[in-house]
Amino acid sequence: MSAPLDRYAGHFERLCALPAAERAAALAALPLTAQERAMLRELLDADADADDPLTQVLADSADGLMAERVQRLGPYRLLREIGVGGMGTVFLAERVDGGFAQRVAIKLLRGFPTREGLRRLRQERQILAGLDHPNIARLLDGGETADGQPWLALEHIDGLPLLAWAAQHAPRLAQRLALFDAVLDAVAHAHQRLVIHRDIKPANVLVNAAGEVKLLDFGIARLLDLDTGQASRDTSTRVFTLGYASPEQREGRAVTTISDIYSLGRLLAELVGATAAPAGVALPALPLDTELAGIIAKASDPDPAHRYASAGELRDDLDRYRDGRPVRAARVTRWYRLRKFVRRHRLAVALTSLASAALLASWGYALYQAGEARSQARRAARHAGDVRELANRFISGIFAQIVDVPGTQAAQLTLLDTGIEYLNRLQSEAGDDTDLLLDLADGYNTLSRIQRRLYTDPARRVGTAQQALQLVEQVEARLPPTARTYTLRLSALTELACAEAAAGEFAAARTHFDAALGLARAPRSQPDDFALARQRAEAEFQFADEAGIELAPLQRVALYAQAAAGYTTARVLAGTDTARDDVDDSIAATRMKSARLLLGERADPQHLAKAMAHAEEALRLQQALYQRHPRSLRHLANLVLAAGGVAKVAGRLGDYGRAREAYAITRDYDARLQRLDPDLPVAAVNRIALGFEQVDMERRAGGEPTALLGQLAAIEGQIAQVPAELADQRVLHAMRAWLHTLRAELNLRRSEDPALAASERRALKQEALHDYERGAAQIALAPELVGAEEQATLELLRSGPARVRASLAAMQRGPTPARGAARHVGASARSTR
Amino acid sequence: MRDAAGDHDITRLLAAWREGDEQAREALMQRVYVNVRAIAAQSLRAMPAATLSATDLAHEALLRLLGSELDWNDRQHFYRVAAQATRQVLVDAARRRLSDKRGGGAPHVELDVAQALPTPERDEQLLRIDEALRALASDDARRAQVIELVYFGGLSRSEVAATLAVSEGTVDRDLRLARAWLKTALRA
Repeated sequence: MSAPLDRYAGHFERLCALPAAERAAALAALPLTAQERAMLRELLDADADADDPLTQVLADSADGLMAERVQRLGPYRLLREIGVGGMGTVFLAERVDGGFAQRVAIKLLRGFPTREGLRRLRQERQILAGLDHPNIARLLDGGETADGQPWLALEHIDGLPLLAWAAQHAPRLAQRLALFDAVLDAVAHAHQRLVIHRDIKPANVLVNAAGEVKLLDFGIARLLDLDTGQASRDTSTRVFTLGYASPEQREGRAVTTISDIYSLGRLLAELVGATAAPAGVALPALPLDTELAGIIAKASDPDPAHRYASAGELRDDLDRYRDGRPVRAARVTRWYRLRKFVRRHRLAVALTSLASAALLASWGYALYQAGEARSQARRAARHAGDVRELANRFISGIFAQIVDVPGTQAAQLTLLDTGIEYLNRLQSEAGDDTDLLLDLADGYNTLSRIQRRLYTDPARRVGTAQQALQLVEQVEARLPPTARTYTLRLSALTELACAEAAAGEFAAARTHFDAALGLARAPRSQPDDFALARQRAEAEFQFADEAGIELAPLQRVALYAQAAAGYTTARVLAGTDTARDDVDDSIAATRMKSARLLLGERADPQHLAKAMAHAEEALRLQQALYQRHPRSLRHLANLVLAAGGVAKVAGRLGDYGRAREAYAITRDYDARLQRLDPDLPVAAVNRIALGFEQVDMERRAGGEPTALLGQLAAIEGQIAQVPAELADQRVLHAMRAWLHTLRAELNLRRSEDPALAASERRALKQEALHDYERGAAQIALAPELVGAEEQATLELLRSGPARVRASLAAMQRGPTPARGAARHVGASARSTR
Repeated sequence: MRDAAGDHDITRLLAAWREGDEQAREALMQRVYVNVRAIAAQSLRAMPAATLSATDLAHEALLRLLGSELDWNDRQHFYRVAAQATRQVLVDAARRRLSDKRGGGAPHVELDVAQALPTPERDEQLLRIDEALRALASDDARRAQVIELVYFGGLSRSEVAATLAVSEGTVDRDLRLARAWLKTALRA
């Protein structure tokens, strides 16, 4: 059938325009061959037939394509579609390679993988990777299909949406509130990691058969913006659920964690039946009292400023409500308070009334006793005043003066021991003197920071921080909290968490970090002073910084940004130049850290640009500080790090010329540091790390392997000389892992040199194999030290043995072109703080 | 083509193709192919059975992919590439399924998925449509393109008119005749 349709077009149109009944006659009258006439009739018949098989065929084919496309993803087999969200489709799937059938939920972008969609799914993966909570559906796996579609495998929750579950089980109020508690916990966990869910609603909360609650769908969740502390505005698509989204979200204004509080309030309202449940859900309403109604109203107040400031605050008020204590949300009247008081203390109030009467009888005696106690206290106070002054001068004074003075390492270690002994003795004499107790807590806090700097045995650091925490608690049991107790508690919790992480007690570290962050982010009715503002920022910084605390790299970056914002606030409150310089040093540290982390996010060119900007800012700040304090060990050590950061970023951007220049500057600063103090342990560690980074950069730049092996040997010598107190610490494992990996890579490259004898080449390959194995063994000893930056090292270690074997096999077969593996080894360095 | 460099690349390729560079067209097809597989699945599935409405989603996706800076002419060209690629994707899939079946190669399809797969008759119909379109294109390029843009590209009649630089009336007439002709080809 190859007749050009043009021949029929004119006739076809005219005939189509005629009423159907006249067409046959008109067709017969046309001057056409029999064949042409038959063709035209066929065309008219086909046109008259309303059926459109084309559409049907194409739709079925497309369906088939979809079905084939999503049949298998990685190790998972898709079973059926279980949900459609804003951006993605969720499938039930099961693992096919394991011995047991693990069911998972697979999330795929629907349809066309737009850049926005890809960005979101990547972000969801990042966000989920940083969350680890029993009430949040867990991320299990992720990958990309052959045609570039990303997917996520999530914990599959076989359960009912919250309201449907409640309708089925008709729980009592206490049970409903317990369900809500679990949601609150999940949200609080997310908020502490700077994640805003943005779509909290009953449909995104599932309850399984065991009654466990899981919060789902972080598909439109956001990290708090790196710079503003608010979720950055979504310019592309504003997605939200009416009825649950806060007014600010609906209006496209900036969304914060407090916007989630609004949604939580709406959810609670439906859960307890304060508002009608959505159509289709028959949820029996409960009689609602004014306090609970007040809590709901406060949580979902249209004005964010009137809502609870955090999930923790909302939880607190619900706890009060359950305990029968006055809730914050209720309008506080005397009568309300009294009524509440009597209800909770029905028994206790009765007893007090009796006791009061009895007390009156012995009033005189009590007064006498009080007078005695006061004069004893005066004597005690004099003594305590003396020792306190001594303690303060000793810890804050002496340490502050010598801690950055060159050549005082040994003295500091001695002082540290003396200091702890001194504090212990004082503590036993402190009695009830709350001021002294707080001074002691301060002292322990200071000592544990110094221990951190000196790489003291982590177990001992834990002990010091615990002492501080105990002392604060002792005081808080007696007195209402003040800015000082708040600061000291925050500081003690932070130090404790850091020490525990260093000791490898990650569960405990996590708990204490959670507590510290809760404090760091809770508002107080009084404005902060400098110490508290700085301590808040410090908590964020340490949380982001500690190895072994699992956070997605971008979450760490966001936390560093949060810390930087906090330090900036503290800077305004700082009363002295020293305090301001201190804060600048901390801001530089946050920049340097985030620059290095952003290097791990190379897929996004914006991140690389940001990495360079951050590295340069850190360097600028440190250079200014160094100029003001040319003999300060800390500032010089941090300047070395900042310069090394710029070098690393430049190298990773492929700007080897600039990187070499920056490394030369780094070495120059480091030489000055060594002249000032040859024994600074932190400097020794950083020197080794920067050395590795430089060798790795040259390796990737295609440097001559023999020369680089020589540099590695020099670094190995430095490792052998690290101070004894470091010798059994985890950081050493990371160093040795780098050493082995780099040496293996370089030997493998050397072994491709055709100028060498075959036996020699084989020996080099064997040596590389040996190094890969030893490197892997070191990593196994301290896996938590492998952060996002070091993933590439791991990859080299993993693939190394296979590459060596392949290359040995290739030698057996005959000559092959050398393979230039362009990979990199990351390194992390520690700032002196 | 998910990064800035990729977009730039597409623009360059489109320009080269407009200048008559056939290799650029091939390269473009290759680049677009992968993403169009997804469009095909999405847009055709969403298509109501009775009418051939424009598929907004695929368009939006294309526009996002291309970015707003893209020249209007380039956009029209891109639609053509996308429609061609979609057709190619569907035909390839149908051929593969049929040859799997004939060769006895286990299709390795799970039960639930198998229900969603087209029958061999459907696959053969699709191949017949493809063949008929190729025959048509050899001496009636414009009508073949109208069909391709509407059915495989999901374009509206006004967009087809703009893309082919003809009036909407012409598009309507071409579409009606070519569709009738394809139906007869399917019946044969």
